[in-house]
Amino acid sequence: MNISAILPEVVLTIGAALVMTIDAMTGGRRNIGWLAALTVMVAGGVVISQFNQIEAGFDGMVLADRFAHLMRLVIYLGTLLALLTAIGAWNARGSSSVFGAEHYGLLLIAVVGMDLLVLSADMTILFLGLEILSIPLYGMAAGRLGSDRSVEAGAKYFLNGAFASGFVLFGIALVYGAAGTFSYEQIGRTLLLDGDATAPLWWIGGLLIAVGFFFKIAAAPFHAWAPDVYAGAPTPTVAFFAAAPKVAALGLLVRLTQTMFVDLPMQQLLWGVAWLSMLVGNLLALRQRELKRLLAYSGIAHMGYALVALVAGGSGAVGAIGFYLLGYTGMAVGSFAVACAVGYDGGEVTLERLAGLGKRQPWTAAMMSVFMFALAGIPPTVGFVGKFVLFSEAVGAGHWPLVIWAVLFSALSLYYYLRVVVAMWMWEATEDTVESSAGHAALRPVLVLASLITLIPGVFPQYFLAVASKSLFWLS
Amino acid sequence: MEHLGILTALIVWPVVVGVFVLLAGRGDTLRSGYMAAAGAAIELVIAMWLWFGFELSAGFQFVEHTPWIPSLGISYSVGIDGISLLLVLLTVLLTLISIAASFTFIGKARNGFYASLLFLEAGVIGAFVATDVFLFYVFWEAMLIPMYFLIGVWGSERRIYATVKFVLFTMVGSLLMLVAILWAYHYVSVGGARTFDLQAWYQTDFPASVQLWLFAAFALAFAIKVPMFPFHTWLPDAHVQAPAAGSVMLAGVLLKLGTYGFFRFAAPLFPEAFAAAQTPIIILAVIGIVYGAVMTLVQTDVKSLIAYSSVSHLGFVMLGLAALNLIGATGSLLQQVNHGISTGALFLIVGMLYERRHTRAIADYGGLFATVPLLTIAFLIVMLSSVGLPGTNGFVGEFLILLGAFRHSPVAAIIATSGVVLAAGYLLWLVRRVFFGPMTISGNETIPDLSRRELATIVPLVALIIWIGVYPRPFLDRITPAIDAWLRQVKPVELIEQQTPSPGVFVSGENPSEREQ
Repeated sequence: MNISAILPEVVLTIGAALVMTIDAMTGGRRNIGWLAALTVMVAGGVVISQFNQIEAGFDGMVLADRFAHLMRLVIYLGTLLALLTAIGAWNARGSSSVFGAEHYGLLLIAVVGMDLLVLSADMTILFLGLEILSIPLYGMAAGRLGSDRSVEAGAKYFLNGAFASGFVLFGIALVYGAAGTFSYEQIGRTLLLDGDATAPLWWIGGLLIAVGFFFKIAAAPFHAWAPDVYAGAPTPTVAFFAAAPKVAALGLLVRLTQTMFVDLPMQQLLWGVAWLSMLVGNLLALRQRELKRLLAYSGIAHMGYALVALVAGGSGAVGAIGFYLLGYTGMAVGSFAVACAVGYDGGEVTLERLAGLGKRQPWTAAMMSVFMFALAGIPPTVGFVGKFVLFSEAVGAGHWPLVIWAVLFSALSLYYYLRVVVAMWMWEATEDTVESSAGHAALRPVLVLASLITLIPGVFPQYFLAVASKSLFWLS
Repeated sequence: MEHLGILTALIVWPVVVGVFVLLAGRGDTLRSGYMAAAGAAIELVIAMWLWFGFELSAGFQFVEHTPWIPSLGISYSVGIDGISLLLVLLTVLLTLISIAASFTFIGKARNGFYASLLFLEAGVIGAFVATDVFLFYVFWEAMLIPMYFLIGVWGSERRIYATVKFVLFTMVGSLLMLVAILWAYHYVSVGGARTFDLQAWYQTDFPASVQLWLFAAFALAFAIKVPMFPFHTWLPDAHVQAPAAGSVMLAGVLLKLGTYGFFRFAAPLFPEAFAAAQTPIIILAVIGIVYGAVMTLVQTDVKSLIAYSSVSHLGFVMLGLAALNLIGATGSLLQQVNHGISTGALFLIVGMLYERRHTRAIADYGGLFATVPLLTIAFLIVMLSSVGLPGTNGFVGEFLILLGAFRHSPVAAIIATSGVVLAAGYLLWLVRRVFFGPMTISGNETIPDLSRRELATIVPLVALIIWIGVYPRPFLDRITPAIDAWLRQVKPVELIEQQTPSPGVFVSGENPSEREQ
């Protein structure tokens, strides 16, 4: 047993227990998000202090290598931004918050699950991580006090998620049947040696596991839950859903493609899912008038972009995905934070409600514009450099037809991202679009932080790219 | 001369001023306008250094080179040569004029407006001076943002439709070019390392089978920007809806990025494909010349008329470029500058009219000479330059282009000449309808003539029109060596030898036959 491999997770678990306890002692009406944020920062500090070490633990079931460190840092960043969003939203509402303080505890537990996913070197840990991650998220989705839509969102998410878990579990069973071991490395080796005899079992099993995680990242055609859940769940929760779990699930997919998904028609599957996600996400986003739904579809499209690089494979592609996820965390959580600032009272944030925001709240509108341009992939933002490295890897691996598909939909996506910008700066505000500035003031910190994450690696990507591309020496 | 950082200063200074302008108050006072004008004037002073310090030779000058993203072979490399020098100077001048011309035109959110103009200036200059393909692409796309806001926030009624159309059209082409850039990037390899350095790309022979595809992707992006027929449909919308300053920048500077892209990237990077595409480009250019000219005849909106005349004039620029000889290409480059000056000035004056009467419809004017003689005279001079009257800059440019085109294809030149005739027709007709004849619309008799500030924005352009028209030598001297070197990059050797070289022009440089497979 090597506890230091999972030291950050221990920190997070203790933090979650503390948050839950204090919540119970204070009757659930204190904004104790700062304690959760502190916990995440301490956990992040532990990861940074271990950054140059590779720790294997628990008989090789857990592997804390550079890649896991990097993914955990990105997850913590997304979590921290989501926590700041939640703290701001709570402060803006005073004592009448739309969600309870158990939000913070659930969130920390979910982060433990995400960590386990990216740390896993063994299918047992994979499943453990998946469940520890999923169950708190179901609760959080349903966590808006006194809202039927939120309960509906939670139920939808639960049903879809339970299916996905079932798929993964069944896949694990089949793969275990084929290989006789749970360890990724050994599965990969066994199947390389004599995979032919057990090929059908192995193929179906691998496919089912992958499908389970396509659910988690909301890649088409496994995306249907996302828009409803995003629209119904409390916005601070959605800010959390938008980045961190996707980072974890995508990180796991990266690890699986590099270790045990050998000799599989996995590339074709990834190709198809990427192709379809870009198509479905972008096309359906065109008609959305509600900001959170629009962002949900945009998130589907963005997972498609990330999968384009995964199709290419190779260490460069993994570095590109790491870099991209960092940037995506900033711009996605940032844009949900804006949705939270505008609709901090819990109402729907339609595009009409954004009309004239540039006049009322120029700073919020300016930062939202940065996020939108970043999501559309326009320089000088991290969205551009991120897409650039993703597509560059894919073109380098000869997948230029897929990249042409991707850029055509990127151009299309500009239409709906611009619509948000158009609404903020070019539409005249109508009578009923008055709002108090409380939400904007309370969410200023998270917006500034997310803007910095969106702009700094966009202008000076060298350091971030170097860290991301060095994350992979376990490949060799 | 090297490492003075002038080009960097030209890019960074407008951004710095722009940020201060953006933060200067709430935008209802003119303070931001004065700040922006002062900043742009200083920019012009810095830029004059380029004009006087420029050596009359081919090759990049004022070169700066700093690694930016070394792991991807990306560097911050800028430099200027005869192809980009005049375009940079034009950009700096037109930005200053656009700012000064907007003091009364723009009434809302002034600081955002002037900041956008300055950011646009920085982006355009960056694209003109970048000698790293990645850097070029970053500027090429980044400058969409300020233009998008200029049209979308300060434009007229259908501004949102126009600005979204503008951005989407441009982006489709740009992103396909990005795929081609990525493909080429993975092909180019210098000592085992990948690079975006333009010089290294010039040295690379791309395989003939893919050259055509790469060229097509680059050419599409640039053809949309120019805009060449049939990719021009965004232009009239954008021009009509943009505020006067936006139209000036769009016509004067942004469209030049398309033709500049052909000069700097599409043609020299893929010479064989360019040679193969020569005839289609000439055909499209000639269609554009005639089509744009004919379309002007049915326009009822002044700005829309000038926008279509731009399509026609840029057809000339493309024709001279595709003629692939020294005279034609020199004329093409000079005509880019000319078009920037004269069409910029036309939009400027139309903007002044709009400011006075709040209408762009030709039918709402008539007989204005009686009330605004100075404005009429200014418009006449600019119009004659646009027509290509001898003694104005337009004549020099169009004459060189037609001469060059005639050497390559007499038929194309003859058809293109009809564009000159038509231009005289539609512009003179426009002048007659707007400035002469009876004054039928009440309200037109009291409009004020040019103010001193407005005069100050037009006089430099008129002076340039006459200077280039009468004594184009200083401009041609700066252009010709670069064009000459450019031709040797893009043209098979036997075609060059048929030409009559001017003495001492073809003495040095790489042997073009090395490019031949």
